[in-house]
Amino acid sequence: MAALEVGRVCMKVAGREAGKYCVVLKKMDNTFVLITGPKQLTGVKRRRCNVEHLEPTQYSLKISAEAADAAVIKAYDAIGLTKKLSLRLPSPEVMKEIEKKVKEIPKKVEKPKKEKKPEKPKKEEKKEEKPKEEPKEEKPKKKGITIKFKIPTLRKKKPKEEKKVVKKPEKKEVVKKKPVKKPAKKPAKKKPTKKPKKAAKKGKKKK
Amino acid sequence: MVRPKLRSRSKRRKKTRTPGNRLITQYKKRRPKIAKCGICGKPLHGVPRLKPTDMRKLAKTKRRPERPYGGNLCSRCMRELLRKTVRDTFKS
Repeated sequence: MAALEVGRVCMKVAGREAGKYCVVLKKMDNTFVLITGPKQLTGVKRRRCNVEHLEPTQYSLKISAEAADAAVIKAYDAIGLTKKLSLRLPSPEVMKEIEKKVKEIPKKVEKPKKEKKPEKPKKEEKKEEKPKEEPKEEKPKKKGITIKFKIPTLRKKKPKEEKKVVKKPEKKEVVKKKPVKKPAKKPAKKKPTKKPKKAAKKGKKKK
Repeated sequence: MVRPKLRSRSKRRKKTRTPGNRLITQYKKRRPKIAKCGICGKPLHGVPRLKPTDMRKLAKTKRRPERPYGGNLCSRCMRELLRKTVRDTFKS
């Protein structure tokens, strides 16, 4: 069968999307391929997929690499594949929503790539290029550093002020109370614990 | 003596200790056999070994894997079957 090129219509063979059709959008590695149903047409969402989980058919669509979902649906319809594969075209209302997303989709696809690969180098760059990338740097600072500092400062400052005025007399009171309470509690605890055990043993033997 | 109905060995016998410290045998139904693939006969994953009454109490997603032929065929046989159908239907 033909190779997995851009625009090749395939059937997903593994997983919960098995038995559904999809289109190859881009070749990522020797093992992975970017595919889409699109989700509104066949139920396969835009995702990365292992080549072994695809079975190519003889059909192929005329699509540019990483085409939007709306363009893919039109390409399906142009060849008449929707009838051959017995696919239902999405309703016009849904189609409008898909066409609106055309501008958003390429951004979504690009973002994860940028985040995944350059994360490690970015950390090094952030330290060096602080003035250049202001918005990206502010977010991690707020998450990481400010929260860490706020909590300890609040805890440290308040008790220091209170200790000077109030806590010194409190400590003396606490020390006096403890020895009085302990002897009173211990005997009270021991007595009830012993009684039910004996009662339970006796009850079992009797029965 | 046990009820004659329970004397058959088709029941599962379980010995339990009562709160009054006695040993008694409880008679229960046996569990069904492990679900197996319809083609190759391998035991299936993700299908719990419960009585049909208990299977009803589970959510549908917990009764079988969520894919075509889930709970009937193993994943490998399902793949081969789908591949065959694609190759046969689109030959001509």
